[in-house]
Amino acid sequence: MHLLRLENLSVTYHSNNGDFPIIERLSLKMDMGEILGIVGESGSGKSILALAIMGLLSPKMSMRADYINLDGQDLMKMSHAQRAAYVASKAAIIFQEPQASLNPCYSVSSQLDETIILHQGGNNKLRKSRAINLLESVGVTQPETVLKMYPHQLSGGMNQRVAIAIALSCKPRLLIADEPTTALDVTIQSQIIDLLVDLSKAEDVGLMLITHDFALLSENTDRVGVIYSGQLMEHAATENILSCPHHPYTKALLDSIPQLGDRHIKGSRMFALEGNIPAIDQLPVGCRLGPRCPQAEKLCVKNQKLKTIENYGKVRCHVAIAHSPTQPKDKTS
Amino acid sequence: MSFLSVQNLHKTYKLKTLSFSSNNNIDAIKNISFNLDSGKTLAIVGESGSGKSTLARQIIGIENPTKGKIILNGEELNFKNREHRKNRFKDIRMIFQNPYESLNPKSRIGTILEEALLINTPLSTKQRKLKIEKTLTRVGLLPEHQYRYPHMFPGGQRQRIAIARAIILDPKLIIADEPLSALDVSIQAQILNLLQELQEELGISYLFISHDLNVVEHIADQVIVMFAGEIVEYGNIEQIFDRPLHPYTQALFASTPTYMNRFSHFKKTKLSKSKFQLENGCCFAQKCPYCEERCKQEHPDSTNENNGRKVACLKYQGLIEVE
Repeated sequence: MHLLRLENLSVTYHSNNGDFPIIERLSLKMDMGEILGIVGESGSGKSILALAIMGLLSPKMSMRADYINLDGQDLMKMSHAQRAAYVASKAAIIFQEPQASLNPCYSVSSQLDETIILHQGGNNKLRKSRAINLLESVGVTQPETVLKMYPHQLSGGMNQRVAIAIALSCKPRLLIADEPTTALDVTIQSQIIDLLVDLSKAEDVGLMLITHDFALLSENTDRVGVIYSGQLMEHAATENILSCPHHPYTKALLDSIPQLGDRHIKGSRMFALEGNIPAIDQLPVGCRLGPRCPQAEKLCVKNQKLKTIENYGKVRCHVAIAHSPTQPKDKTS
Repeated sequence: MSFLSVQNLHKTYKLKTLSFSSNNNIDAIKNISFNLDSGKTLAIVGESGSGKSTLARQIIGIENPTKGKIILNGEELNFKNREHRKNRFKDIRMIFQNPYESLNPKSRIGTILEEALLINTPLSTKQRKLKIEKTLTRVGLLPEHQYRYPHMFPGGQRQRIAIARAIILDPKLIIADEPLSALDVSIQAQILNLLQELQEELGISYLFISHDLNVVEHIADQVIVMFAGEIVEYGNIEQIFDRPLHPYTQALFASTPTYMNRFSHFKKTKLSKSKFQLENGCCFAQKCPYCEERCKQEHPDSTNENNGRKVACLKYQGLIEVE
């Protein structure tokens, strides 16, 4: 039984200069309690994917899909109001900057209460004890004091914990974390990620972790999807991707991260992918990575299809697919 | 004789509050001392609020330190004398964190770069233009880019412009305040390579402020680990990355995501219950997993290990034996 199944999800941006595709025919599956990582550069459409699932797209964008199956029901067949209510009861999202996603004018208790009223209701006493329980479950040590405080009185890590508590108040089956730790320090980052992973394990919640940090995904996720310029480039189990990435983009991403352990030797340079991610109104013909790809060939001007490689996963690159039966070569650093 | 030498630097900010409470001073940095050789990189690591950027501001001369000396090239920097300041601080330039905010959106790239030359050098218009073109090519841009505006460039190229602005006066020291954290992973590698190229060609020293230990290990020669305005550990890259001694450094390593969990045996920081600093005692005591009663009473002086390494912890020798 799948928790989430997307088939051919496309998001289009309608501007004055015409329509531009932000996400193109993206298909994903998530099992119950699975931790899925989504990785990509900024501008690759990974946040739009999260917003599309939650139904939070801006009015200038429209989305199409064959189906979006969330916990057994197809979202595309529902009316707008039905869909909003259903998604709110099944899924929750945590945003990047906790300071920006919480309302500075209201105290923590009133913001938590708002969602608790919406989902469980109950009298004052019940709601307050529920709020305290929620804060305790996200590792806040003095929940009674924190409830009375305002977001500006709390640190970034604490604010993110409150945001997670608000997200958990609907008892979601799917939790989407959109770069939950980018604005936080390293020590706080590891606490928040540990918390999210523990929650997902304890309550069997599916966690979609969206980030640009491969190292972060490598420690925590079961499967990883690599998005580039609105297309799913590679989708496979985490250990497969880390041990032998097939797609040139994934390889480049992994090679361009300095790893703990490689020191600076005079004259040595790190591998760097040339150029920048294409703008949505200037997409290249054929493979989106084409102009930047170190292995580009003539055939790359054709549209690439996402194909399955056995015992590995899905890859959108004809070069990688052609070489797949043989063992991939060692990474040259 | 080292190129940059900082001795016992203090900075205290006075808080303007409406209440009449007596203690409204904040010690942003306390007792910072280090030496940096020319052509080397010193990385400053620590969480936000630990005083990394305050230290950078003292060295570049935006603010006067409350106490202490900064010696550049054998000459003490005098913050009171304006003329002296203007001459000396040509040698120190800065690269900021966010290239989207550090470049003036209303002026062309050429104007941004020319401003530094106009103020600091007696070059003629023609010479200035030549210099700008040379610098732009040096950082991997094209000479015609000087007629464009900052919004026409993506983040990576904007950071290149910021670097061009820093190197156009041929400085000896560049302070880079988290130059990579606003960029994408694939762009980070490009900028990191450019910084290393410039260092090897022009012999610039870097003061590299970062919270990303992976990047620091790649670029730095020396590392300072700061916590709450104090240096908790200071040493060469080999010393610190091979054998971190201070509990806070160990916690940083344990929290940094890596592929092969090299530091999984270290303990992470505790969640602290109170927000306030202890008056005496170790600055890290409240979050330290090894904290004892002694740590809350005594302030640890930085002990010299061997060859210049310093650790500010009362218990670190005991910790090594436990391992």
